[in-house]
Amino acid sequence: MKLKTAFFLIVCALMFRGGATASAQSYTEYKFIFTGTAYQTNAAGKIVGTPITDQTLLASRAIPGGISDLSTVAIVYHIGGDTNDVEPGDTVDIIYTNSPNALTTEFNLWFGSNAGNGRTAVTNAAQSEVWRADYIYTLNNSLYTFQNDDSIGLCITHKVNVTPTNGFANTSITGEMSWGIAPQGTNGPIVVKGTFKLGQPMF
Amino acid sequence: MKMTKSVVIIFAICLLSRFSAMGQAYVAYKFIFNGTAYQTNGAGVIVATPITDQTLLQSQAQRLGITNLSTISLVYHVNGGPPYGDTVDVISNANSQTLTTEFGLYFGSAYIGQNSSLGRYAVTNLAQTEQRRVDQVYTFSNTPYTYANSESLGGAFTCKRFLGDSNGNTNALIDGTLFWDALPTQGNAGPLLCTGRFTLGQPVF
Repeated sequence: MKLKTAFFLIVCALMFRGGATASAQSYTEYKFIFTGTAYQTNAAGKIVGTPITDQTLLASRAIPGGISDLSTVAIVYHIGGDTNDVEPGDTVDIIYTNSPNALTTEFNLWFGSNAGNGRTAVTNAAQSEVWRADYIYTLNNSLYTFQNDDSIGLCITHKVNVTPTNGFANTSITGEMSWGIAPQGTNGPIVVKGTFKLGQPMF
Repeated sequence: MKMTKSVVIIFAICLLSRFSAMGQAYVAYKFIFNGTAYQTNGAGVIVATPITDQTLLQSQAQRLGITNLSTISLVYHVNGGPPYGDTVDVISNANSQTLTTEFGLYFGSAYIGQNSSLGRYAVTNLAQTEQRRVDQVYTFSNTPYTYANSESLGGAFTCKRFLGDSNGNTNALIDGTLFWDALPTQGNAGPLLCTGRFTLGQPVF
């Protein structure tokens, strides 16, 4: 009887430990779900708005990079994707679906709470909710990005449960972003506005 | 003689009114704003408070020592901050004088006299009557909703349309989204982030 009880307790302990570990898994990369409109002046001189999505952005980076099968890559929101700057920030990266490493970075979201620039985020006492206005930087040329030293747009972001107060459960990041792109090749300037949210956790 | 003088006066009035009707291009319009201010309360919880253009006007009036809000207006001023861009100003209704600037919407595209490119571009139609742009938001004074800072504190996505009417007037239709943050100051206990939408009301001057 004692042996049975001990065995039962051990099984319970193992189950509890396993369950607790699973609920505390901390994802830092989630599919980036974007819906927006790209504004551009057409050949007739009129401004036209073209709907774009995360898949448009993904294709604009993957296909020129020689990746034609978009199912092998993903565009992800990477919490703390940049750690090497004056102010660490999140990034939106292109990755292979089987690896967390960034093939390239679509957006860097920087300086939204940099005290040196007089900027601040609004955070609750539990550190589980944040509102912030970040500056969008793009560091290389593609249809919807271009290499520039200064920010090319802004992003207002609402984060819930991003800090590990509850093991990252129910993490939500939503936002609205707008940015402008310099003329490249035969393309005139483009201005994009849209909203984003997180999709499935990846890594 | 009296008759001739009257005719001249009437003709002059007609001429002036015709010129006024033909060439009027308004540059300032009432600024209509609806938004939300997010701030952490004493219990440590982020609370959302609705704000409007009147909230912003009130906060500037308080700083300026003006108690009668009917004597001032919050206006969107096209090219109010040359050469950088448009502004949102508090003006006197008596003489349209700018009393203070609430927002500078700057650097969304190249400006005259710019030494080096910031790499920012607006999209404009060929007829130069329509534009989409992303501007940086600057605030210049400490109020419950703004913070005096040399760097930008937010952004605005703006759609501008300029339409001529049959009288030759040029009217601006401008709307957009706007967000900015503010560090704590004496009138603002904790960090604040505001977001909302704006449009233009009646032309002012």
